[in-house]
Amino acid sequence: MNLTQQLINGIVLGHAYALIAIGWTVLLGVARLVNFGHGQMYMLGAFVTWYGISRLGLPYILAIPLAMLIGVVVGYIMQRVLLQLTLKQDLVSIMIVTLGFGYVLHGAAALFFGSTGQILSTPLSMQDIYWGDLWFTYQDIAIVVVTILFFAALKYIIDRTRLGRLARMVAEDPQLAELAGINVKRVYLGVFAFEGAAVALAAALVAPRTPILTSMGFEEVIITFVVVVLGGIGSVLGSYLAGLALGLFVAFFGAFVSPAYAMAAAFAVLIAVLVIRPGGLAVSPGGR
Amino acid sequence: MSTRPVLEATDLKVAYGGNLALDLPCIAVRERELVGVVGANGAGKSTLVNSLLGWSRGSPKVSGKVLLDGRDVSALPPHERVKAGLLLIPEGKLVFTQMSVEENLASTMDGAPTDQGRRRYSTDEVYSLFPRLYERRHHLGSQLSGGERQMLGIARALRLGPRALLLDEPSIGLAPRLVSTVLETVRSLVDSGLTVLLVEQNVHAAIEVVDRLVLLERGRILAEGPASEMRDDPRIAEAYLGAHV
Repeated sequence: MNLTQQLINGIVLGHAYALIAIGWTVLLGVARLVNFGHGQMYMLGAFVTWYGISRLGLPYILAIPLAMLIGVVVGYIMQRVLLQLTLKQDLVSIMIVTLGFGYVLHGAAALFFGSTGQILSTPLSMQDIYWGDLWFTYQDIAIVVVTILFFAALKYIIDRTRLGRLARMVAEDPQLAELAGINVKRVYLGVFAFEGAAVALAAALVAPRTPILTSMGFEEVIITFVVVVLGGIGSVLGSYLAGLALGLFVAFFGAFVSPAYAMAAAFAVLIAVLVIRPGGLAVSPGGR
Repeated sequence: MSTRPVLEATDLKVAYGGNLALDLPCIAVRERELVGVVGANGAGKSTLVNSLLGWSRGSPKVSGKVLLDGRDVSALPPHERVKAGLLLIPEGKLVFTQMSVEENLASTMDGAPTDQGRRRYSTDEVYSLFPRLYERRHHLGSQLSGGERQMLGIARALRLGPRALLLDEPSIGLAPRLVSTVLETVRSLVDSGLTVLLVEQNVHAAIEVVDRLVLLERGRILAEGPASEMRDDPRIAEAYLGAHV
């Protein structure tokens, strides 16, 4: 067994997990919302990227913003429908509605893209890199680099810019934020649109690693859930570290024990962590 | 002092679940006036200022007209009323506790207010008004004392360029010496041009600084008049002691 190869696999997987989860992290941190349609939004992002490349003939670099744009539209529509529930913080109804949205997206995607599996080939995924016994692709490098840049930019925006400050105000106390002249509804809409764009970006980068199906999405929601909770709800840095830790755990557990039980083992760790630290490994409201 | 009301509400009614909590035919605050609203617990003081802004942590049914400089703002959501210059410093949670004093004072609105009569204080101006905040500028809101939070709440409002300021129970939880300091600061802000509606349970402290006093009982105006005339009004004591029926 090549430990270094497992380390590389874990790092790539970890960055992929973190990128898939970041939209939900911000959604939870700022709006205290959950979106169980997150996995289907990931699926949609993957298929729109695939459609852009294979049907519209777009270069990969343009198919990504197309997927993000569709993600923004879906996120915006979802939040428009949910707005009253959001303002009332009716979490049970929000869970059910977002779950329903996921199924609607699944059905619509199957209708439009078909139910057969597809391969999302990109110029990066087809270029292998060999270093002695080690193997990875340019797609893997893109996942790691884009994730780091995305998280760094997001951290900067949240901590240092006016937009981030407004988001943190809404996260801490939406009613007090209203008294500061902030349009809280618009912030909620923006956060959902951001989630749509972020998960589409993740899909466009990560989905080329595996075949894509319109029925996928469940595993992505579960991974997101683990990352967001482990990282501490709303913590950007926590999500990054939790994603990385989960990726390394899954890679090494898969190599040493069995890939079939990796996710079950990850949940066992999640339970243990939550028993010891109910707020996750890092807690910071407002997505910091 | 001009007689033109900066803030005026007519036929203001607020009900929680069918129970009428406030029923005011008219209340007005004129330019550079400090009006105190006093009354016992449950008199409807906080309900009044919250309804003027259309803001509440509950879900009351509000009707009536709210005018700011003659402009009907009743249909505007709270954040739009804030942009129009009507600001509320609520009772209890005044500041963002996860943010530093500096961040609390950073503006949330683009551009300076251009409306007549509005002055948006700069950060330096609020620091000179409250030097203690400058000393504590790198501290989180959660690390401030009650008095410092009250100062920060007022300073935050000044940064937004208030045309009329609604101040809800600023003395709650403060030491008597601090109550005087906070209320005297409010008085000096009014003297320098601000228009304020002050809700205060501590009637003795309030009467020392306000121009006019409104006594509320069970959501209705029981008495009102210049502070000098209201000082010895027996209805105030009765309202607080519950003797008046």
